[in-house]
Amino acid sequence: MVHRRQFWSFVAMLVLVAAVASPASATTLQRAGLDELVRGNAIVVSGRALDARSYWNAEGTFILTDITFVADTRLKGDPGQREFRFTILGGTVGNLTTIIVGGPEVVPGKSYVLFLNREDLPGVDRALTIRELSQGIFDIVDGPGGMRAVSQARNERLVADKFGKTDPVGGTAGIVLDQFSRDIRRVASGR
Amino acid sequence: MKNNLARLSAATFVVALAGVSPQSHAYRMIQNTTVGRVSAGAAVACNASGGFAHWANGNIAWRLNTSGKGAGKEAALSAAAQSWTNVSGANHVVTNAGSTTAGFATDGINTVVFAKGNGCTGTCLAITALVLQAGQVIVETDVSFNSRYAWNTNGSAYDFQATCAHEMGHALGIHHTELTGTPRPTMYASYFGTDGRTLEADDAAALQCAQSRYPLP
Repeated sequence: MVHRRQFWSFVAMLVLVAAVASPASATTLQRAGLDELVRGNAIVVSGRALDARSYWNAEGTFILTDITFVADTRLKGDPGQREFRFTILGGTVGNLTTIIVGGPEVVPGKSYVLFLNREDLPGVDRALTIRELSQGIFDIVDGPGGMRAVSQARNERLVADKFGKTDPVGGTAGIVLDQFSRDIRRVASGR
Repeated sequence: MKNNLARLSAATFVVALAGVSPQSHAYRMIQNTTVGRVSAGAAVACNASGGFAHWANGNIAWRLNTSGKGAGKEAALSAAAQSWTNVSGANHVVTNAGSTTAGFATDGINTVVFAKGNGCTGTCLAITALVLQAGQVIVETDVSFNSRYAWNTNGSAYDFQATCAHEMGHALGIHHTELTGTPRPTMYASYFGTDGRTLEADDAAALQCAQSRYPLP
């Protein structure tokens, strides 16, 4: 009985890997470990995207998108309110779409773990954004062991870090969300 | 034993259904058919329903912003562009059209720029933006290199020409290849040094695929 359960857990894991391994992206990113993600970003939250609104920046030189996000759990820092906005590059306005190869994908209604920091974007200084692009956003999906956090950089062009590692945090199968949350809090507290 | 075999068959079937069936080509193209979301572009095969990002004008002129770390990189940019022009039967002419003061902006100029912002900070070495019109027609592209990193033309890391050739591949609508063996294509999904300067057959096949699906004169 135990063997059968283990076997089907393995099958479920294979299906999860297959299901999340298709969407992909590019750009050139150096691999960031969890320590780097946590220490390099002021705010880490898990929650759900409510809305996305794309627009031209004030100078009319770049399409940006504001995401309205509701934070269910604060893991590091404080976005100010439970419902808050952050900005990412790209989006669609009229008949023009800007895609950021290697950027984060945010779909209203879906849940994520986000690593956020204030950075300069085209035409906007110190915008709250996903600084590490696809490495700074984790899809929350149902999988073996419960809800899992899976990095959007799973198919990314990652340059090896100082340890020679090229896989994103959690690899293609991701990490059980509860464990991931505990790990983030542990790093954030310096323990 | 029989039971295990039956289970293994079932598992293989389930995984195949989930999309792990073998592919006939290794290169992949960038698809953006999403509505109401911010997309990074999906990786699809040449014959994918829904098509992929492509140019309607095969003369693709890049300009280098020579301020800061952009100085002295003209020849490397030209060489990266030429490697894509050299793909036979693809009808894409990719050139270095000279210097510019333009930045990472949607302004009709395909720019390579070095900066500390532009949304490419932290672990981001270089970022590519594609501007698409209806039908996934690429009308502009820009690349911003993170000037906090070392960008070299003498072969030491990080090699500007190899990275530029890779980013130009994305700008042509090409995603990362699924090839994992050697020689590695330029569109291999990790930086691998100066070998990335030279296109491989898989890279050429990707651009030829674009030409076969969206013929340019």
